[in-house]
Amino acid sequence: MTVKQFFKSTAFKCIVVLLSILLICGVFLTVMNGLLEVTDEERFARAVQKIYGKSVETEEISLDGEKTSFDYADISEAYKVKDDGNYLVKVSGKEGYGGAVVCWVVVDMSDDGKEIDGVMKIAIDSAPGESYISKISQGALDALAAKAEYGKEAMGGFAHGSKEHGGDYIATGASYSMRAISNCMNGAMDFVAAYALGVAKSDFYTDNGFEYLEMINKQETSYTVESSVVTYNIVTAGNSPAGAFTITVKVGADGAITEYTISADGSTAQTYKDKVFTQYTGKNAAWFKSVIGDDGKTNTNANYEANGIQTCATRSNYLCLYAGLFATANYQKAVSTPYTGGDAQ
Amino acid sequence: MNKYKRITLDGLIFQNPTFMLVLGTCPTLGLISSATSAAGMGLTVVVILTLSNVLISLLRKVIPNEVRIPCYIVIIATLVTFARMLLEKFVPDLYDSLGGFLALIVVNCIILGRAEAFANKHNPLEAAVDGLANGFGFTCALTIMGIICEFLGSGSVFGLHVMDFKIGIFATPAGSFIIYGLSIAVFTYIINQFEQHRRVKANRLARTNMLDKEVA
Amino acid sequence: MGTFIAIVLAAVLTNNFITVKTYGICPFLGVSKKTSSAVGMGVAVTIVMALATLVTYPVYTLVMVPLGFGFLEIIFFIFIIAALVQMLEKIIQKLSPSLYNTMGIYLPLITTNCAVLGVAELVIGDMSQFLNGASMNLGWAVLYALFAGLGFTLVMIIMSGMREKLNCYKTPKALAGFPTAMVTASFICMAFMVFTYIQI
Repeated sequence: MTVKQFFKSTAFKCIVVLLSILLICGVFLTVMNGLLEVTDEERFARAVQKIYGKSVETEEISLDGEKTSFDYADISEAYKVKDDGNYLVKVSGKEGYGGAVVCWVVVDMSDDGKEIDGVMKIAIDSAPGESYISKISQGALDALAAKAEYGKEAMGGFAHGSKEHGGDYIATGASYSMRAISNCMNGAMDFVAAYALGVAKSDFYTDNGFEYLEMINKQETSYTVESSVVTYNIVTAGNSPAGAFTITVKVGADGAITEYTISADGSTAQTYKDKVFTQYTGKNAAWFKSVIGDDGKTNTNANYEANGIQTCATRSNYLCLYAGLFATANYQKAVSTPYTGGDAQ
Repeated sequence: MNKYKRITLDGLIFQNPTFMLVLGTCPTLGLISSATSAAGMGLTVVVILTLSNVLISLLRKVIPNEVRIPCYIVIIATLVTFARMLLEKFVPDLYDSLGGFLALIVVNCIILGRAEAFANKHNPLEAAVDGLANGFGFTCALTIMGIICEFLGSGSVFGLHVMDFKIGIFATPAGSFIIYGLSIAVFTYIINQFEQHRRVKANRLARTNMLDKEVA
Repeated sequence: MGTFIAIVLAAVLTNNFITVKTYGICPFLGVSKKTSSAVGMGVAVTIVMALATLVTYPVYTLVMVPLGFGFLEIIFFIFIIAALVQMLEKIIQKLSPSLYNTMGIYLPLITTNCAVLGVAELVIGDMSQFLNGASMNLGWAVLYALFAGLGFTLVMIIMSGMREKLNCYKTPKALAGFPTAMVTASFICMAFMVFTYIQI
């Protein structure tokens, strides 16, 4: 086949037509792509609109030097919404079923911007390993957001950063995921409190090396020291179905309890208070450890029975014992460290 | 005029791509759990199908027979990419709800099928009518099934809450399969009845004609 | 290892192409009347899916995105898949005519099978939910494509077995063919829904 024949052949015509169609299409699409490209800002504005429900102008907050890591949540991005002064925070809540749940939380500020009113909206961003998460409806999220109130230890049925399951939402089958979402809200509010209101998030107990903090509400618990007698005002975490207890415990010079009074009863029937635990008086850290274990994690009825302190409310019992353990085990620490946490700071 | 009426009726009913030919099943099954995304998918296909039909019909004398399939694919893929850009820019909600099925319009048998079976043999106007008819046949089928499926699966229609009840299975592909299967059955039954009726009528007409002739 | 198991389980069971994603339904309904043809189609699709991903993923990440032509992916992918299928057909024809006779007839149908283009599009998208924390690379992409293909084959085989049994019964005229096949498919989907409860 000569060159001339080739140019006249069908093969040549095929190649020319195919290539020219390809070229025209390619050029057309390149031009259109230039015209119709969705920029990153546009994409972000769209995401914000979806979360926020309306189009708003935002300003990114630099996270350098801010406290972004909490016991129960990590902050990854934060924006101030210029229109109404609220904050939009991307936060990853710990303690989910298969890991963290990443949420966008809109923290609602009061009109003067000096107080946190609560959470306006939550939207789930991603949730690796949480197969039940799709069962949580936006309605349930809105209900949870409506319950959130800054400064209250229990938010939407979940204690602040606790491992509790949250009985209200057990029907979704995603109680762990709901806990992680609550942690997201708590983390977002704490972040905004620290960033915008200048409230230093006190971690007094952790910083000073106190032990057995798991079931203790570190925000609300305080103590005073008076001539080697430590008076604790302990607020426990919830232990579903039991809620938080408030207990006043006095520990004497020998490290044993001299007084144990329950002032707020968290038990389901609210009758736990009447079963006054005279047994606790005179007990020291070693005794509490023998009941609920060296790590404070043993919670069995058999143990209570053996020690003669069985009640029908196992979980409430556990919380009260834990508070006792916290008080006695940290006695030496409390005597040597004046309390500077919480509002005292 | 009669020609266009036949093309339209074929596309919409007698050769309905969804119910009669069972083409384009993947997006159908994937999207009918929501009426909005089903209708959105349908309308996107109407536009792409009509444009591809017209373009291919215009180029039918230019494109050599040997490379016609690659050429059709390039044209369709270009239209799909263009549609995707437009949707992403102007209708992001629909873009999100169509998901992966948007790109898969390229391999939707309806579009390549119409190009191969109709557009490369007819003039642009006929091709456009055929594209519109088949596209709307597809859209109607998807929307009807979408409404049924969404109502059963989440108690709403086009995202609007109708009543408090839901049968979870209809929000999943399992429900889509059932609805699609039963819809085909109902549609085929109706068409069969109709054809039978027409045949009986035609026979009777023929017989009377014959009798008339004999009498004459 | 965790990622490996996560991808395999997701591709075969929890995110099965037919029962969850509804990709590749045309061959699923069209070629599942007999088990032998279902296996042939399934194997052919699996091979093409894995090979297509092996080519499209590096082309997209190493060539198209750096050059700024990411938006042309649909045209490129469909061309690569079409060329690949043609080449595979020729190679099998040359190497093993007997294999060509059993499998070759399915190959031309695969170009327009949305499972192949679907997997090529999926692996360049957001795959984080399957990766168990690992970052995406060619190996995971091909692994996902391969096992998605095997998941497709699995459902094809189940379906063909059921349809072979169903052939023994008479169905009403309107229900014969596609309607019966789809209701059967629906039951397979329901059975596969159980796997969505797998926690990885």
